Amino acid sequence: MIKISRILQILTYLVVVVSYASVFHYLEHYHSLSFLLLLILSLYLSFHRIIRIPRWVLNAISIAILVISALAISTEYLVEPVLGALIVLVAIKLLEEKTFRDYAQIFAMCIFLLIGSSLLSLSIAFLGYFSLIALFSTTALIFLAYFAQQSEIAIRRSILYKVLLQSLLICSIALPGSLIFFIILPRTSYPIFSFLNKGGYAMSGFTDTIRLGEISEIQEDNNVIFRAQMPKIAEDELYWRGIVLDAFDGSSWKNSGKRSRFSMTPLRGREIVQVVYLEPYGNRFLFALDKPWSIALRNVYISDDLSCSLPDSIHERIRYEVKSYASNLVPDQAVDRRQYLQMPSDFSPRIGKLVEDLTKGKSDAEIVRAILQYINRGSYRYSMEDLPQSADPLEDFLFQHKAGNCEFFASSLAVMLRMAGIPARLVGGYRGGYYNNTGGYYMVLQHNAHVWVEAYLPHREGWIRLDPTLYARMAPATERDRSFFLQFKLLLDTFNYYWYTFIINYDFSRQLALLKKIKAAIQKPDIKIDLAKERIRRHLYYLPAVLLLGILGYVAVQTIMKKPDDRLLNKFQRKLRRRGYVRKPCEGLEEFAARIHEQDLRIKAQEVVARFESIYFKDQNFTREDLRSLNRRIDEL
Amino acid sequence: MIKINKAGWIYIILTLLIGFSAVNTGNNLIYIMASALLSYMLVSGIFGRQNLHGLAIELEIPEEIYAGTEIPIGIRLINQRRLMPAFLIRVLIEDRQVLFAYTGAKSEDKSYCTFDFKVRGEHVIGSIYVCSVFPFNFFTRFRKIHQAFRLIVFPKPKKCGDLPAQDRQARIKGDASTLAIGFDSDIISIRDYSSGDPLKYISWKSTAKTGVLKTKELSAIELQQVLIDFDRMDKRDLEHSLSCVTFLVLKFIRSNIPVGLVIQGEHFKPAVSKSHKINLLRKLALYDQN
Repeated sequence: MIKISRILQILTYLVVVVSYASVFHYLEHYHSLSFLLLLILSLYLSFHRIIRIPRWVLNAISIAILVISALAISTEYLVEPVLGALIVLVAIKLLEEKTFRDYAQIFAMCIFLLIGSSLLSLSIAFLGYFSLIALFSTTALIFLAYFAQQSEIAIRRSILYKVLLQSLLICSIALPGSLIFFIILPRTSYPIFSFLNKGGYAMSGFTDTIRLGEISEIQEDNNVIFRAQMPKIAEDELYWRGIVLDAFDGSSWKNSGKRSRFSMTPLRGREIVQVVYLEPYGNRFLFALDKPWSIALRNVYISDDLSCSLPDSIHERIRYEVKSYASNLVPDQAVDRRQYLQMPSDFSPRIGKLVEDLTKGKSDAEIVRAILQYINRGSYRYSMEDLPQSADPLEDFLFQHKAGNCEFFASSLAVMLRMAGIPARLVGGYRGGYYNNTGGYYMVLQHNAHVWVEAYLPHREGWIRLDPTLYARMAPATERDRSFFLQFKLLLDTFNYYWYTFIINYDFSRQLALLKKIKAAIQKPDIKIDLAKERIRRHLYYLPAVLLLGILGYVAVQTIMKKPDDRLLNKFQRKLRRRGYVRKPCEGLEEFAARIHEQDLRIKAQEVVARFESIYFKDQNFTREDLRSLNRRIDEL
Repeated sequence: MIKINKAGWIYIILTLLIGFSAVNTGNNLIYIMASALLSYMLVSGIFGRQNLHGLAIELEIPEEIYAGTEIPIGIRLINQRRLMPAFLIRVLIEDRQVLFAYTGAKSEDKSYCTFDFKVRGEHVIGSIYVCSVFPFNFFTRFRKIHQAFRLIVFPKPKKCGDLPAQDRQARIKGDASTLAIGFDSDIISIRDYSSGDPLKYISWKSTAKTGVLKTKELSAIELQQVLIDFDRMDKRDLEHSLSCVTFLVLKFIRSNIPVGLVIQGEHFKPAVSKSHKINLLRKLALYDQN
């Protein structure tokens, strides 16, 4: 008989340990240490009940921990201290003499811990913790129901297995079932407490390479990339600078990484201070209102092209204060003309001809105006679909397609300027944003991503901003490294991708889209019978293999499931059959052994039978040692 | 019928709270938690409901039940389901309850519950419910078993000194030492214990030797035959009279003295058989009852 209270205790510890693992990364060391010490103490006390700590002492400690943790809370550091306090409270609860209520409280706190972890990280690891906690707590709750009925109840081992089976059954129905609720639960586009989410969204890439012609999901992404606390400013000043791209290879733009000496003269213009809360997005560039002058954050590097970056990719929400100057000009007296006039050799003579026609005999300022006018007044249209994808996408865009996204507009301008001898570069970042009057901040979304151009005009002694698109979005570039490890990493990342695509990024708009699809499917059922037939036929070849595997599996299971004594007997009979002795139906083992003519074999067989029967008929279980010795004896036959 | 337990209310509130947090943080992981809690609520409902289906109750009622005396009634829970065992079934009978922690599929389990019927007569045990908190102690589900069990409670046996019957019989026949079984004289034999034997006659020595409860049978002071004419008895305190007669009937039959009864014009000839005893007691139990 097994006591329910003991099983419950073990399961509770399992739930607590998994909950702790889910928040372990975010806890302060002193929280972790206190939890572990208390856990060990409670484990020790549950086996050796030497002292019973009075409840009032535990309550007093709990209150002290709550107060200490409350002192550590700030608007920016809210979730972690709460989780720390919670995990220590759970450990204290484990120390108490537990009634139904105490167990229920522990499980509830563990659920809150898991929720806390979800506020800090959106990683797929959550699914693992969640499933484990669900499995353990389902089983624990069933036993808790027993415990609530009779705290001293004990059950037989066979019943224990039945209850465990039942809890597995419940889990296997409830967990997939929760997917239905996940899909249909109401959602809103404007969550109130989204500030609590510290875990990054699955932001598809704002990368440091722009490849022309590639469509990006960023254009459809409505996640917040950052919020900037600042006064409201004019719409046309809302350019958030991120990365500067200076190297063009004919179809893509990169940051060459060349860092010229810091020769920037001080900026002029209206000073605007922002506090930026940047969501983790997987790259190292920081965004700031154009033109940033200083950033109050450790390890920030501000390049002379005014792009700001951290040494490592940003994987958690960060906050920094930026001082920017709302100015259209970046003063620069020592521009590296070679760097900013770089073009691939033999690049599109057709564009070269066009530039030549547009700029012949004009000054720098006139050239800029002429090219800008050509793009703005030409019949170019903004489009995110059906982008030019030839070997020379820019030529395609300028002369044939005449439709593209902001990357095409900006690239065309920059390339044409460079061809006309005016240093130019692309600036990637965000444009616009939504001002929240109550909170006093701009909310900038991923789909605000934008690319514009900066051209160097010697008479202005600096770079001026030129935006050939009034409103455009930018496509991310993807790595095309074919190395084995990257491919492998990409394969592994597929799970993450699906996790983020279907779970993390499932929102109100997708919910609506899904509903529409279902509605359409009901109204116009599209049954593709032929396709289904084809699919079945294709899979038919696998059928024999599957059947064979099934049979093999069945035989294996049967062999494993057979009792050890049956296996021994079978082996014994098999062995003797080979020597010419077949056991008759209903023939006793001793009788069978006595029939053997060869004296030596008979003695050995009788020894086996005697040993076997001495265990079997005494209703004893065959120990490992028994089985080993009997097997050895049968082998010797 | 469902009753939401305290833990159930907390679960519901927790689910609502987490659902609210999910909507207002837009965090899909919290949505997963809320969905799982809802899903568990639904699945626990289905399992809880299923757990009460295909159950039958049978009562094992002793043949002789006397008013005001505690008797154990056997409650058999029969799980008629083919696959699903019955978990944590509580059987509610009147104001008593018995817990069956586990009853396998296609099997049954038995437990006893002590009853104490205060008054004689016919009783109907009709209010039988099976209930269970399975699987999570959030909700208690009840199901009424539409089955009634009738039983007759005999009057409480009471030894009375004021009844004329015994005196009169004694006077007519006179006392005589006899081989008839009674509780008055020497040990005649030792037999297996049967329900209702007074504790003081249990032969502990024989019980210890055989491992079965044994009762000493003593010789009785002989009373040849007894006829109790209840119709002619004083019935000012009817219940008292019934109790006294019950006591006498039991005493005589236990002493192997044939006893007869005249009641409501019906004449029962003296006999000592068990069925005769039951008949007499039933008559007494149902006296003056519609």
